[in-house]
Order: sequence, then structure tokens, then C-alpha cells
Amino acid sequence: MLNRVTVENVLNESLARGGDFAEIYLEDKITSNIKLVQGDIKDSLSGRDYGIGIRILDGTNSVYGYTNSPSEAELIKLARSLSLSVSGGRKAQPGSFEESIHSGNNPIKIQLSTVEKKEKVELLKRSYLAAKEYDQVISQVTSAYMEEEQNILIANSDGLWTSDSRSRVRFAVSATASLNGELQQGYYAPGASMGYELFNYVDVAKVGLEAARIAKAMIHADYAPSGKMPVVLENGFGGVLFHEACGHALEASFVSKGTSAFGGKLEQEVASKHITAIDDGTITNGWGTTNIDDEGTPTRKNVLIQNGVLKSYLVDKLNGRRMGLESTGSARRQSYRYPPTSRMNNTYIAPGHMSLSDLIGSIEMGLYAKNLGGGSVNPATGDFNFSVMEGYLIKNGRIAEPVRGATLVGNGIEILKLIDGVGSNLKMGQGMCGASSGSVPVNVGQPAIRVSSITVGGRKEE
Amino acid sequence: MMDFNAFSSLVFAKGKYRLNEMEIFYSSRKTLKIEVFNQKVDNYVVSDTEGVALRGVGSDGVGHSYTERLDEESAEMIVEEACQNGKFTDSNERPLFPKRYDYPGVVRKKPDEMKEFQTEEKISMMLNLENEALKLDSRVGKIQMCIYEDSHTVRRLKNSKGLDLEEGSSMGYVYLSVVAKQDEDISTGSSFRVFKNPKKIQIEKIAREAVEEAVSFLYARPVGSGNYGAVIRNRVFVDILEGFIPAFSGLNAQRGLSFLMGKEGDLIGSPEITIIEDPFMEEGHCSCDFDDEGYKTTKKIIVEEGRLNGLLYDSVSSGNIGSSSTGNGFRSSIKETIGIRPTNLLVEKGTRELNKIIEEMDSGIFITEVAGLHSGLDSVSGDFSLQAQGFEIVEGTLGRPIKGITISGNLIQLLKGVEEVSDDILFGIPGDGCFGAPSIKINSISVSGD
Repeated sequence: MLNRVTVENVLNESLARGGDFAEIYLEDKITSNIKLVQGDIKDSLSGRDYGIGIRILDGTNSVYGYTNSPSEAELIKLARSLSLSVSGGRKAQPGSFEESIHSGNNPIKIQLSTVEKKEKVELLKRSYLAAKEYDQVISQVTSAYMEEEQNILIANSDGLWTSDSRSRVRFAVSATASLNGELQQGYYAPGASMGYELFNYVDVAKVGLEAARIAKAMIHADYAPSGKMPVVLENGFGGVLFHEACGHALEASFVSKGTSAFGGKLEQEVASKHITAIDDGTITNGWGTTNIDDEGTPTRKNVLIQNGVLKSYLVDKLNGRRMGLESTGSARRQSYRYPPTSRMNNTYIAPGHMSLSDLIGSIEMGLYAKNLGGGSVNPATGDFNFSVMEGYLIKNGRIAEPVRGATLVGNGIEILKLIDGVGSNLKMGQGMCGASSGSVPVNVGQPAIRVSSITVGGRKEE
Repeated sequence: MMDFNAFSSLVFAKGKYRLNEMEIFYSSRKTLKIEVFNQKVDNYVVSDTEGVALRGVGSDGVGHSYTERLDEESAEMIVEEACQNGKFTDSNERPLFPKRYDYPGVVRKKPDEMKEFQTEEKISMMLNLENEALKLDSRVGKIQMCIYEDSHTVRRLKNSKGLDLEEGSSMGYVYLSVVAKQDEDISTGSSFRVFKNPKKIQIEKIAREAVEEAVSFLYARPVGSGNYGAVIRNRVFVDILEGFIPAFSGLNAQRGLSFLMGKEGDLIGSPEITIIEDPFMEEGHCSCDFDDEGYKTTKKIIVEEGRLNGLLYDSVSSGNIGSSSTGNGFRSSIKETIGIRPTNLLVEKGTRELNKIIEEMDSGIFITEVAGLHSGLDSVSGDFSLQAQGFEIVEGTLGRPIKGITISGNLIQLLKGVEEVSDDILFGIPGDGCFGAPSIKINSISVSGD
């Protein structure tokens, strides 16, 4: 890592020509990825990411630079070149550091790098066999094991000196079914911020089976219908609806610039009264959990919407300055290559009281979306999309035949008011979320919910 | 930290007794990003980074490792990791690294025009762009993004057969996205330019394109579900083509992960469709003489008047079928193993202007924008279902704006339905490859809406 004198010198140089705040972010990360294709290891790759980012804030303007070199001379050189972009003369001096360490959100029992690769390869093989033997229709299985141990150091001119150690592990299986020249895929990829003990809770054979089950269901399915209809989104990754329809637009990076559809709506009713939505960076071992955010602020549980009323945005330091708000511990970045900005951690809709059959029972004709894929949003308009990976028609209050993937589209402001039923079975799903500060791990979650009307992008036969 | 020559010598020395063959890939990158907001530089990012990837062939198999720190400890580490990783890989797939041979040499040694442009000029250009966009129409009062970014990359490749190659490139882009508002209705519009020489950029044009697009989408609403005759704008066709690129990988086809497997020689599009990969295009931003394995790049017709001539290969996938690499083995970064992608890929343009094509249509839709490509497009099955917006076409002219719909189908069905290709070829912002395409008229597309 870096010693305090070096860091102090770098921060001092950063503020020499202007700016009121300077920060240094060091990242040292080891990763290991193993990929198994049809039972053979095709790629095994490991290595080390290492870099340092320096940020200067001058009011609401930000200057950022990064390098791989930890030498004091190189860092001073970078700080000087950055400081040339800030004007007005010296406004601040770095204060003396006070170390503050937050820990405990992600307890680890077995450190990932201490487990032999051989054992990880065995997991991959087990998942492959389970998926392959599920059904004759399964033609291809790819499984991947991914781990990383990220160590970060954050120090700033306000005297903060903090560090965090983040261990993440994920196991993904993608199964392909093939029939009459057509291909359909199923995918399942649980992950957590924890150690190798993840595999005491996750049975990799079941991961393989789940991917194969989805692929088989979809190869025998017809196209999804098209047009507006009621949709029930299953628990877990169904939370992608809130993530896209509302979550991104609550990020201060958009709100502070007046380019969010949810801007200026604090304390207003923005969703149906069934909706309480939370972003919580502290859930034990959650895929999107950290002890501190990437500006060094401890993460916390932020209630975003309570019974339909907007309560909070997701705020980082820089955008907080624009909005006159304190950080909510939501500053994140993929790596030292990005300045941090406000992002989601583990975002979910709180459980209600309905069962899945209650939600489906009243629907004459609609769609039951059992497994969801990713999506995107234009935060300024609120127009969003996300994809259904595994769907079924709902006919006369019952789940009927399977239908293939389709994209659902809508507008965030409108759709939150159309959620008219919330189930009781809260569950989280793991995903990677991409935005201006890179790709970060997030949980999306919810109990099963019902949307009274949303556009389903299926297709009509010619 | 040490320089690359010293570091690579150290790695070769440490690996010599443990690995049979070695390949070291080096990449360095300098970037500058300027974001403007409210007539100030709101975000300014500079970087200077490098990294090294090692591919080592041991007696058990091929192992991969990388590092962003170039010091003795890391040299030790990447050799050790490559050895460990190689123990588990399938031994059939040993790449045979190429020796040095003659490269076309078309691309190298061009003057770097980017260097003539000072940071202050870039900043003032972006301030002008924002200012220009804000004064064009009173309904456009907010800028969503006003970004300048340029980068200079160098890649070097050394292998234990004596190969030592180096190539550098520079490119940049300007991206503007604006927000229009009238009463309670909000819409956005964007425009961009990719360049080698920023002096050639016409700021006023970018501003006007983004503003006109944003304003034209005010009060956009869905159309009814059904099948429509359609024109797909160049920008959208580029996005769709880029999304389906993994299907053109020979390796994915061999693994049963592409709907194009076994379709070499088959018709996959109408006779209007010809797709070319050209690594030597003067204006191409992904032009290069050799791929990231050291094989020379080649110009090829991938789809010729609707017929699929062949797929793209690296050393491993071509070895599987007893042929040689087509020069398409590239790494997305040092943290990725070799993948397969094209350099510059373009759909050949037609002869008529876009508005002439639209003029002849009685009815239909003009799709100008799609979203959700990473999730709504499946390069394994060829199916897509994408959020879309555009305009109604009524008696040869553009009618009301449309949003809140999806377009769905399958790539082969889409390409086979192409009735005409316009002359307006456009290249997108380069990612893993550079993609260019003209607008196309298709017989039918399935739309979900109201």
C-alpha cells in the first residue's frame, strides 16, 4: 500500500493551485477466473489489477487522474498535472489523518485464494454434469467460476484514512438447448461478497440444473405475445424492474443535473401505496454489500420510497454538493479507472402480504415472468426496458404454457403506479450494473409483484 | 516499476524452464476525457496506464495470467499463475505462436493528427458545443451529456519464437445528448462524431442533430401492435449488427453457440446485403496489420449478396478445423483471454438517398433508435426484442413520433427481408471492433405497442 507521508505529499500537491478537496484511491486486486466448456477447461486466467486514482474537487467541478505507478515521484507528477486544471490558488491544506475502519458487513470464513484451483475445477465439472444429464435436448453447457479479492485504501484532505477488503465469488452456468435447428439458453449465476464458504450454501449441481431447466422449457416454448397486458414478475431478479424503472433515476448523478424523471419529487407520491423500496449496502454478505463506499463513507440502509412516497435519493459527495445533501454512502466505481459516483448496492421492494396464487388468480390473460434478464433506462425520460428470460402465459388465473424471451418496456413514472400487488416472498438476485463509473456488482430483489399493464415485446407470426 | 523491455526479459527468463512456449502481450493507454455542464468543465479525467498479459504453454496445457504492476514480484507471479492455470486446461488446444512474417504494413506510420490539438482547444470546443445546443430551441434547456474523449493506445507482442511487434493508434469521439421539455413531456436526442482529427468536427451540426432529434420526439406515443413495413436507420442497424457479432465467431459456431453454425455457403440475407471486414480502411478506427496473436489481418467478404462465405477465426478455432487464423484473435483487455472479433466491419452501401426510399413508401415506420441491446438481443439464437422509437411513415413523409414500443424478430429473417440499402453509411463509436452500416428498408418487422 502507500505510506502516510507519501499520501500527504500527494494530497498537498493536488491542492497547491486550487480546489477544496483532494482524495486518493488505491486499488490492489487479485482475480481468478476458470471457464469450463462442454466438460473441458478452456480458459484459466488469473492476475493482479493495481492502480491509483487522484481526485480534486473544486466546488462542484471534478478533476480525476489515474496511473499504475505507486512511486511517489509519479504520483506527485500526476497530482501536479491535475492541479493545473484547477484555478484560484490554494484554498485548502490536507488535515492530519485519522484512521477509521468499518468492518463486519461481509464476514469471511474461508479465504478464496487459499483454496486450490483443483477444487474449483471440481465444482465446475459437477455443475456441467448435472446440466448435461438433465435432458437430451441440452446440447451445450458452459460454466464459469469467478473470484476476486479487492483491497482498497482511501485517504482525503479532510483527514480520512480508511481501507476495505472485499472478497467476491460468483458461479455461473449457461446451458443451451437445441432442437430442429433452433437454440435457446438458460442462465443462472448466484454470487456473494463472501469467502469460499459460499459453496456450503450454494449447490453447484443445482445451479447447473436450473440453467438446463430454463433452456429446456424455452426450446419447447412458442414466441411471447405482444401488446399491453398484466404481468406478474417472480421474486428475486424480478427486482430488475425497480432497478431500471426507478433506481437509476434516483441516483444523484442525474438528479443533481436536473436530468432525472424523479428529480424534485421528494416527499411526493411517486408509486402505488403498496411500494416500499430500499437500497441497503449493509446486507450481510450481499453481492452488492461493502463496508464503506468508494469515497470511504460507511454504507447504510436507505429507504428510497415508503408506502409510495419518495423519501431519499442515492447521493455521493460531489453530487451531494450540488444538491446540498449529505452522502448516503452510495458512491461506487468499478475500479481505480473511474471517478466514483452515486450507484445502487442491494436494491429491493419490501415484502407485502400476497401469495403468488393471489397475484395470478385475478388475471384472465397475461404473462408470468419467472426469470428475468438485464435492462436499461433513459433516466431523463424514465423510459426503460428489461428482458424476460423465462415466461409463461397466464390464462384464467392459472399459469399456462411457456413462452420465449421478450423485452418489456414502459415508463418509470407511470409503471410504479401500476404495481397493484406485492407478494410476501422477498428474494435477491445477483447482477452487474453498468453506468458512468463502470460495472459494479448489485443485488436486485423483490417478492413477486403484479403490474396491471405493461408492454410485452413478443412477436406475431408472419 | 520497470519498462516493458526489462519486464518481458525477466518474464522470459523466469518462464524458460517451466513453460515450453510463451507469449507476452503489452498494452498501454493514455486517455483524456472532458465533460462540460453549465459552461464549466464539470468532469476532467486523464490517465496513463499499462499492463501485461502472459499466455504460457506448459506440458499440461495453456495458462493465462496478467498484471498491471510491472515489477519483479509481479513477473514471478504471472509465470507462477500461468503454470498453475495451465495444469487444468484441455491439452488439445495448444496455440502455435507465429514467427515473424511480412505484414501488409498499410496501417502503420501515419502522422498522429490528434497531437496538434491542445487541451485548451478541446475544452473550448466542448463549451461551444454546449452553448450551441442550448441556444437552438427554447424547449431544449438541459444537457444530459456533453463529452469529449480521446485515447492513444500502443500494443506490443513478443513471443518465444522471436516475434516482436508494435502498433499504436489514436482516436477520439464527441458525444452530445440533450433534453427537451414541453409542458410535462420530456424527450432526449443525441448525436456523436468519431474522429482522428478533432479539427474536422463541425460543432454546429452535432448540436443541431441532437436538438432536432430531442424536439421531434416530444409527445411521442406508441403505435398499435402488428407487423409493419419499415426503414431501419443506419445507427440502429449498426447497433444490431454489433450485437450479433459473437455469432460470426468460428469458435462459438464450433461450440454450438451460434445460429450461424453450419450455415457457411447458405443464404442468410437478401441479395442487397454484403458485409465486408476491412482491416486496412484509411478512415477505419480499428485498422491494424496484425491481431493480438501476431497473425496478419486480412480483408474478406463475410456475407456476399446474402450468402455467408465464412466466419472469423483465431489460432485455436482455426486449428480445430485444420485451417489457419483469419487474423481475428483480439483481447478486449489484458484481463481477457483471446476472443474473436472483426477489425472494421461494414455493410456495403446502396446507391439511393434515404429520403428517396422513404418517399416511395405508402405507410410503415422509420426506426431511429433502439435500447436494451445487451439484454434484448441473443447472439446464440439470433432472436431480438428491443425497445425502439422512431416515426410513422405516411404517404412518403415522416409522421408523428413513436416511442414505448418494441421491435422483435430474428437476424436472418431481418436480413432476408431487406429490400433496399441506402447510401448513408455511418460508423458507430468503436468498441470491440468498428462497425458501419447504411439505413435499410425491410419488408416487415413485428412491433409491440398499444
